[in-house]
Amino acid sequence: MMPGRRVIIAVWLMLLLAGCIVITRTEFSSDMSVFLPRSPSPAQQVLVDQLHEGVVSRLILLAIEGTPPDTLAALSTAMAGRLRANPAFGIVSNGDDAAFARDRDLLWRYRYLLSPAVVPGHFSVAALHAALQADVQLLTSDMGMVAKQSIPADPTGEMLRLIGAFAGQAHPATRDGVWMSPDRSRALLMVQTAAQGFDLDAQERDLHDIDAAFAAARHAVPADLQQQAARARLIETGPPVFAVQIRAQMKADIEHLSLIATLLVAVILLFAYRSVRMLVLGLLPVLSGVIAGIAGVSLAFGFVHGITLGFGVTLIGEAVDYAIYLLTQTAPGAAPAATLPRIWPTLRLGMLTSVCGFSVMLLSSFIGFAQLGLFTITGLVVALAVTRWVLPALLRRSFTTVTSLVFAAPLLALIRVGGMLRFVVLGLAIAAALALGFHHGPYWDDELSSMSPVPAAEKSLDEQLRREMGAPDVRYLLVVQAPTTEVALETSAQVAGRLEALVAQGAIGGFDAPSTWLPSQAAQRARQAALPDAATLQANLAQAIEDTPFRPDTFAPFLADVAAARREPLLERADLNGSSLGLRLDTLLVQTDGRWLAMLPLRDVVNSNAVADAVSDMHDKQLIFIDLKAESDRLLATYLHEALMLSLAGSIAIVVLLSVSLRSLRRTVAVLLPLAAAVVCTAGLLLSEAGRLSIFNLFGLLLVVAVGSNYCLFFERAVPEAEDLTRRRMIASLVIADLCTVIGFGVLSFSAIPVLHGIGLTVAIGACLSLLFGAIFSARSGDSIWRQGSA
Amino acid sequence: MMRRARMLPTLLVVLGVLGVPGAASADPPAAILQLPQLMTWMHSVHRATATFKEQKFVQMLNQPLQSSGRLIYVAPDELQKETLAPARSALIVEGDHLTVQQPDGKVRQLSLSEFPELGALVESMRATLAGDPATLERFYVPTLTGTAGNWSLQLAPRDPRLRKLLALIRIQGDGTTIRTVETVEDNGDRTVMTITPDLG
Repeated sequence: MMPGRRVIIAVWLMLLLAGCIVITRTEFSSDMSVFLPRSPSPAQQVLVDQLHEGVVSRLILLAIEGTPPDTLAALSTAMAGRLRANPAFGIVSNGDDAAFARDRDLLWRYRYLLSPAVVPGHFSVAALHAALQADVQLLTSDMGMVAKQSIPADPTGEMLRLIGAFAGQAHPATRDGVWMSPDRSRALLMVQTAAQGFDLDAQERDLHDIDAAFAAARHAVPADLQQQAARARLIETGPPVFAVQIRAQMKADIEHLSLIATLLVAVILLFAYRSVRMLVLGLLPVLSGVIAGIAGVSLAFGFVHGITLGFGVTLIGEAVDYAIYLLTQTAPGAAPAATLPRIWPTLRLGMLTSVCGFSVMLLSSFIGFAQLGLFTITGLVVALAVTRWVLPALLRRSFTTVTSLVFAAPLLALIRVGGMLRFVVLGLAIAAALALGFHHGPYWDDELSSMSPVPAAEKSLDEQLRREMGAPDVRYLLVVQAPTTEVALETSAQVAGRLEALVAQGAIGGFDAPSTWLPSQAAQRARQAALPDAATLQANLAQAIEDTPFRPDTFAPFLADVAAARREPLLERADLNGSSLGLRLDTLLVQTDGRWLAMLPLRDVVNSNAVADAVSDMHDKQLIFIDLKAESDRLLATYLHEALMLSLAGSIAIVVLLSVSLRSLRRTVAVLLPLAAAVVCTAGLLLSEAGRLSIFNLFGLLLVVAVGSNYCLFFERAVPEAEDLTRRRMIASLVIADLCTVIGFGVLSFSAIPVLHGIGLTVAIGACLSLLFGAIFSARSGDSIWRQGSA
Repeated sequence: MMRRARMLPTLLVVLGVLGVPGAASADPPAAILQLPQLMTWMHSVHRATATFKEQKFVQMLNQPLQSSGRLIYVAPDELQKETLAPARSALIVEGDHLTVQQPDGKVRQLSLSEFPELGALVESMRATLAGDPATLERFYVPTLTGTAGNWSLQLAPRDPRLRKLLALIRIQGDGTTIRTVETVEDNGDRTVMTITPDLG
């Protein structure tokens, strides 16, 4: 019975309570962008924003399939009608012409302010004459029937220009009035959510609404189609769909895997201790560590990410070891207080080594990894403190401990032949090192997409739908930064002028610009000024019409519309509200941090150098040319470099810590040699299995160093010769601890989420190898206990 | 249109050999022609070329517009109308894609759906040539009169929106040859296309 036992328990309980209170007030986040950088370059900021809230992040692609085309068309129409009535969806496109009626009206009404062709001289006698002759040609041609509708009010063809730009983006083929795949097996719809891409709760509601709209549409189709409609299936893809699915999968994975890991660890401990009470006691340090970890992250970051919680599983694997060492290495009937002095220095050093390894993660640009680092460090420190002070206070003198030491026998046998196996391990390590050294091709998976948790099948379905739909897959983007909307729009128009030239040259297929749909006030005023007064226009027209076949009174609507355009107020952003033009503008012209960004996405870029050259003199306009793919690859390269540097720093810190603590080069080498062999072999195994290493494997290797060093420390540590039972207890404690670690991380490797899988698999393999190699190498030192033990 | 008239006898023999119902015994030219029969004949033609002359009577103009050029049809859904005079232009339809080469040399890519009037107009020709009664009936109510040697197919648009523009299309032909296509608009404007199949 320790003095002050009650005080210790009381303090511990109060701290636990405080931790729980912090946790109840914690905001839990599942925003994947915490795995994006904290302080990117301007170009990277645009990339991150695009991923976060850009048009692309809000685009849901829908396909209805499984029934004949007429039913598909009816379902598409019914579904789009329902979705359009829902304010959660900004744009709902299914090819239905009626949806763009408002846009057509706007373009028609403001055609003289929107058309870039309206410059002084555009309505001179010569220009009008040329326009009228072109109109005659147009009427003669096959476009005549369409053109005839607008020629009397728009002989200079401003509307045709605008519609051309408006419909410039590729569309899927329309059959039966709605978009369909070329083989008519799918009706296609495109939905843009009003909610931002990162607002996963809203996105989840949106997807639910889409499912409901589909279910309702099935009942809304005409009676004769009902039977076929019942067979229809709805396919959903696009970033919001993926994000919601991933969140759900991650939540499920974390819940299931934590449960499985906890159960497995409990079974092992129960098997070892044969006592529920001991099991509960053994889990107390872990539980305290998890609570402290969550509370610590919450206090430091203001929120806790779901992934961080996922690694609570790994903490179970690591922190449960401390209690195992204490409880297993204490003989039945002995006081744990007697064991502590013997194992405390090793435990403390082991914990410090782990903390060293995890602490470099605090410096990571990924907020997610920084949280993981803090969570693990806090958890480990608290778990060890609870093991050191609280557990002995809770334990009675006569507690049962591990009675079964069956684990020990095989490992001791292994250690007996360790001298031989040592060379095998060295051989393996050298082979692995050679394999790493002579590896063909890149080591690192440098595609951002490989970090994406979206399954390959879903990705290819998404690509297929995108192809069928001609959905924008923006890679190149010109971004103008300006202090005001007016300046942003003026610069946008200037850039657009140069891009027009590139389109004509064939360097790019096309582009979109905010200034096309909302010209700057100055540009609009200039166009207004270029419109002649009624008398001049009438006189010019009368002269221009003379030798054309047009009847003189044909163009009265034209005269009236030009006169109106001269007087009317300029087009304002608010005028576009409620149209798809307005929504398009919302994505092309955005305000961030008091600045305005005009985005000009480019289509079908053939020659990106030509684009860079065309705007090379405009850097003073705060213009950036962004290749989103190159930028995202560069981003990943930065992360990889950072992760490599951090791992290196962590490893060096561990080496320094060990050599300072052990005060012996020989002992340090004895600890590090098996550890290094384990890391090299793990890396070799992973590389040979996957062909490449990911950033998650790299962080996993760092954890192998942090965790594996504990085993190697215990093996290296000499124990008084005679205590054979103590040795057996120690080896048993190591095996149990290692099993728990391997289980904790091993179950993570079954997750389909790359971050969980990558780290889980790496640490599970590494921990196994560390234990094996540590055992084998421990037979090497002349003064080690094992030689005598085996004699 | 085009070489079909000359191919017809051969075609009928082939169809007879293959035992296609309805074509087994060539109908005498004087018999009343049924739409399925015409469609079946049309459907078996894979390629045809011809020249055309077109006259447009438009109210806002005080004289008719004349043009002429060539027509090419390749089954099942490719149709080219190349206008050579008074200015060169072309209209090429492949599936749902419409390519318009304007007299000024500009090329525009359109989807037929974006210009429903144009889409319907194209199908009146293309679906008739392809012998595709389903598509034809989707856009129009077809009425066939006359005999195999001189038939007239009247197409009345189904869509009320289209009816406001297009009152009627009248296609006249002889065997698988189309002779004239007359398009009458609601406001009285009219287009008459006269087709001469290539010889050879």
